[in-house]
Amino acid sequence: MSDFESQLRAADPLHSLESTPIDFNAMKGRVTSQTRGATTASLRRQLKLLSFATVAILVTTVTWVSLTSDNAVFHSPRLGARTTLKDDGPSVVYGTSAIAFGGVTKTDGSAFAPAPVFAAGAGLSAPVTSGSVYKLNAFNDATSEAQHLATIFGVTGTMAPVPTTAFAAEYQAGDMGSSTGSMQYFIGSQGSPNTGFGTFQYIADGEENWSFNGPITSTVDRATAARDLRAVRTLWSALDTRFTLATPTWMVMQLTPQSNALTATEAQVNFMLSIDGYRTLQGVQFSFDDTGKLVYAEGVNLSIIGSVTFPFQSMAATIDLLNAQQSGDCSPTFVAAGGETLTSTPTITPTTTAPPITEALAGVSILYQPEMMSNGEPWLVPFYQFTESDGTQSEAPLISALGPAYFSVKKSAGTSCTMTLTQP
Amino acid sequence: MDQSREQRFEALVDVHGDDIANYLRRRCFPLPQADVGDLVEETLIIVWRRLDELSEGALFPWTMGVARNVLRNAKRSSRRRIHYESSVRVQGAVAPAEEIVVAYESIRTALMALGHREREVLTLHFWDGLTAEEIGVSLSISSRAAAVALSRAQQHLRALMGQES
Repeated sequence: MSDFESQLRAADPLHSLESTPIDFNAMKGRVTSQTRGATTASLRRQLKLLSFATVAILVTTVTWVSLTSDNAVFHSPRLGARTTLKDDGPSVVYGTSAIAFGGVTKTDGSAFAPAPVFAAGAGLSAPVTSGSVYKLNAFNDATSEAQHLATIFGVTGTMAPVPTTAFAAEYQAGDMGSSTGSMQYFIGSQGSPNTGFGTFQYIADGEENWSFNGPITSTVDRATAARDLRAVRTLWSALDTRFTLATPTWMVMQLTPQSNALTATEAQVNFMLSIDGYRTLQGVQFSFDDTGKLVYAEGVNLSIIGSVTFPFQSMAATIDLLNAQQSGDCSPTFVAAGGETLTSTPTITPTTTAPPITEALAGVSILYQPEMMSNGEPWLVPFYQFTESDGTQSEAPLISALGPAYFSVKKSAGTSCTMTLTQP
Repeated sequence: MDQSREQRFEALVDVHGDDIANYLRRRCFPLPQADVGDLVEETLIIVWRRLDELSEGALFPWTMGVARNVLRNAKRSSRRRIHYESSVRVQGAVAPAEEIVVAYESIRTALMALGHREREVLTLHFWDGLTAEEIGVSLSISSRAAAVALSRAQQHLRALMGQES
């Protein structure tokens, strides 16, 4: 085993995790005897979540600490823009009505920092008072999408069987020796059972027959960049998307040609997508060989089919929401099993007092993220992102630019949360 | 009850029960480790329901794919809950365990620099022991695509760590 592989295997987190043995025999009995097991397991977990939710109201600072830790992890360096699906994107706060805990003195144990209170800095104002919310195509047929993209990318051949019943498809030539590559299409299983956000992957034939021998650089010569960007523009035009390719970053990799290698250098350009001048956190990437031939591509496939103009909420209302604590599974109200809505009235009893830290929000910009509504409709929703006076990104989370009246997430009568977009 | 069906299921659990549990343990964060048992059971319930649709060779990797989806759903529920309970100080996306618990800083930094798919195929191979073919079944992609992804991820990681192949 190489040193590299040894290190990778040694980094397995299982080595440092304590585990409780699972009684598989009992589990087998529950699973095979009846469907009760499904309800039992699911319900048990839901109950855990709900009970944890109740506790969390009283120990919000613990949650802040843990979330801050997550944040630190995700600020680790990256080599250029990455393709991101919703699950890879930053977490967000939606505009639901809230219980106002902002500014309340909170527990100040040694491990806990007081929560900041956000305030509008001088000159902070919403960039616009209204804007578009874009309706996306709800892809539900990976096969046809794979065929469509295969045509654009020049992949010929036949649809190959994919060993799954999931929402994926592959368009791949049957003869590896003379094919033109493969196109795979995936539909995420978010939202309703048969729709989701699509991603694609193109692999040129022979692309598997290479390896890096480094180094990777982030600069590319002007001629190569111009050549590869022309090819990207051609492809992008054929894809006929309203999104604009923005913020290109390059990775140039030196490869070790092997018996059937395509190239000695691969230039990969990553783009984030923007829509009507606004950023998204979605991306695509294209890789080219020495001759400018596309050898690899992957990314999201979002297709806008319409838009509706919504009013955006004011900075004052937005900051009120940021400073508000919210409770419950999805919203400040708990929905009892019988459908009765119980309004929670939690209280916080500080053990010690500490002055809240006020963070002035100096700037705000708008970015869009895809969200799957509970009715199965995917929409591209605007969010506010704040910066501090020095231009760095604020610790304030992304928060919907639409007020709670237009975009909300609530606990339904069952066990799931519902995400709703209400058109003005 | 169909004895052969039950025997087939029990054989899967006997041979791969710990593999499924370990897969979930590695990636459980930020869910409590105590939830692993529930997640395993949810996974097995789905497998039990769809057992007849699956060929013998695909059963284990397909089960890993089911576990992956069960975990994602659980995290999604957890994330939404967290959003609405503690709205203020958020947040990166919820990181899988492999991004949090990795012991070696250089490996960790390099893994972090990889894309999600690259990281996923690497850990499925080196930590969970899946072959490229099994990764393909687990991730609903072809064996070839899985092999390409694994090769790219491995070489990419090697390059990021400054090691020649």
